[in-house]
Amino acid sequence: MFVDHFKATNFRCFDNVECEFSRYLNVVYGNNGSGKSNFLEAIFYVLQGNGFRTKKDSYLLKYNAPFLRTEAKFTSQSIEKTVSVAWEKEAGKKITINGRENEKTASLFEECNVIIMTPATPELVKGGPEHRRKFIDRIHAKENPAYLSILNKYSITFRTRNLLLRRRLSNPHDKDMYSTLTHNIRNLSKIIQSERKNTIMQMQEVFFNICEQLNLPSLKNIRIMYAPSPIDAIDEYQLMQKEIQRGTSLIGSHLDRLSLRRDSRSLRIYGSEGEQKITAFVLKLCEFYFLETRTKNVPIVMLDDFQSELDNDNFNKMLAFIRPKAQIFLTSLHHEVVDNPDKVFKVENEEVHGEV
Amino acid sequence: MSYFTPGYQRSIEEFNKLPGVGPKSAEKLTDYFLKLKPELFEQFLYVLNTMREQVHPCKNCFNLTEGEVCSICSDITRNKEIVCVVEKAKDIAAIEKTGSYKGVYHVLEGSLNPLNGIGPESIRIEELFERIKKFSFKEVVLALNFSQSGDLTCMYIIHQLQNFPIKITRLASGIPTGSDIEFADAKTLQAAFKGREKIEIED
Ligand SMILES: Nc1ncnc2c1ncn2[C@@H]1O[C@H](COP(=O)(O)OP(=O)(O)O)[C@@H](O)[C@H]1O
Ligand SMILES: [Mg+2]
Ligand SMILES: [Zn+2]
Repeated sequence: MFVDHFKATNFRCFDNVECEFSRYLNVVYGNNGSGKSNFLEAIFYVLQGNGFRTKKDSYLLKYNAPFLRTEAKFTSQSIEKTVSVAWEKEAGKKITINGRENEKTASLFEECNVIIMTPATPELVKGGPEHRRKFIDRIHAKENPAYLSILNKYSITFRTRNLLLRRRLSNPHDKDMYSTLTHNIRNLSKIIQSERKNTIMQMQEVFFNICEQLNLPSLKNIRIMYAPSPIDAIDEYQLMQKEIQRGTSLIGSHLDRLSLRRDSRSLRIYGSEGEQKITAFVLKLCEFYFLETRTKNVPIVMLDDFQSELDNDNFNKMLAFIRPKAQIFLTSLHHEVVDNPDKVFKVENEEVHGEV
Repeated sequence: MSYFTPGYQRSIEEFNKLPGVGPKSAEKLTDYFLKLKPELFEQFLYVLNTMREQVHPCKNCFNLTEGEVCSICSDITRNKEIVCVVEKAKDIAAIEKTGSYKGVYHVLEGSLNPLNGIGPESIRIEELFERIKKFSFKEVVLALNFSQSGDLTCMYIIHQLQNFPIKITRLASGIPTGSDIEFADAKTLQAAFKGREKIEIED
């Protein structure tokens, strides 16, 4: 997919921005703090319904402005569409897709494929398992939108169950409700775990192939290890006592472990900074491959300060992997970051200007 | 600060509390009542008062009624072996319009949402279990909204009735997720009733 036209009002440091993009490589350059990431975030916002550095819309609103608004024309699978996402404190978020008002963020998630790589991406390897679970879950949800509603149900069940446990099942019907939720968390966990297992198996293969293709032999023996958390209890009563004591759910797929290992050693613990970074970015390329092949809607790729995270050789390899297929937005301090960019934008004084 | 007299201002504030009435409409309504002929104003108050006095939930099913039991509960031609569970009395009207359901109802007066403080004690769910235990229903049809709280309510009912010899069905999908029974069109609802699915509890 491609964004052809984009407009934003009162987004972060910008009053008004309007741009036509190239369908190939767009370079966005400017000094530190000029607003390059803000600009990418604005484009991300109109395509996904939230920022990539925060989930809070109020942070995205230009200081002291009454509302923010973003809109775009994009083309996906040769069909032209329009989308707008606006937010103000009282009215909340308003999403419009092709003139249909009151759309949900989930519809944007289905319509638009965007992959973002930022200096925070290595958290995928360095951070806790929740990052990796979310990564796998989102990829699978792209292929199977019904999975998104399973994840939503899980999240409600999990939060409700924790609420009851935190108050030690002290309200009159809490024990009954707890047993319904226990039943439910088990059923949902079973589904989630089987989907995760499948996706991870496929991911492993794609990971291996991409390492081969990019000639990254040192990564080829990295394994994605999945350890689903047990969901049955030997003694239901004991489980309940323990959960009440801890005030939280001790069964369910939110406890699944998901790690990247080489020779059974976790990269999170033993990997060098460089290995962690490159592994994380290769995982993002896997995501690209999944979305491209499974949804038939080539993702837009946003690379925020990407080249500062990698050595030249790896930067060029990775860019070459996506450049022929996708519309790319690349931010950098300098516009010479790549050879022959298709369009260059300069961010300066809280404005964005296309250069020829 | 306000340019209106205190009485006028208070009236605006009261109307503003009504669902769907913003400050502008509240002002219009205030003007309307200010100028309304005395006999029409009396009639308006009378109608509201009698409505408040006479309309109340049916003692069996919590549908709205002006008698002790509602017109559906007292209708001898209705099939008393099947009970359809809905969130609010208005859903009954939507279902009745389809003409495809001949059993009785149970209005929960809400749906479960513990995260917002709505537990089983806040709705008529114990009353439903009482009714099921007391009368020999053969089938419970869950016609709850396809929303998160609707889903949770269904699961709770199903799980609480798991050892009870009764068939439990839920309206077939076709009604879009996140949507309200009240606003589903008659055709869709009719199809949803015909295709209602039996729910099995697996362990
Ligand atoms: N909601 C906001 N309103 C106005 N300015 C903002 C807002 N959020 C961030 N900024 C400003 O934007 C600037 C940073 O922009 P950023 O896109 O991160 O820069 P960079 O070009 O280094 O990526 C900061 O100076 C910050 O103060
Ligand atoms: Mg930046
Ligand atoms: Zn009744």
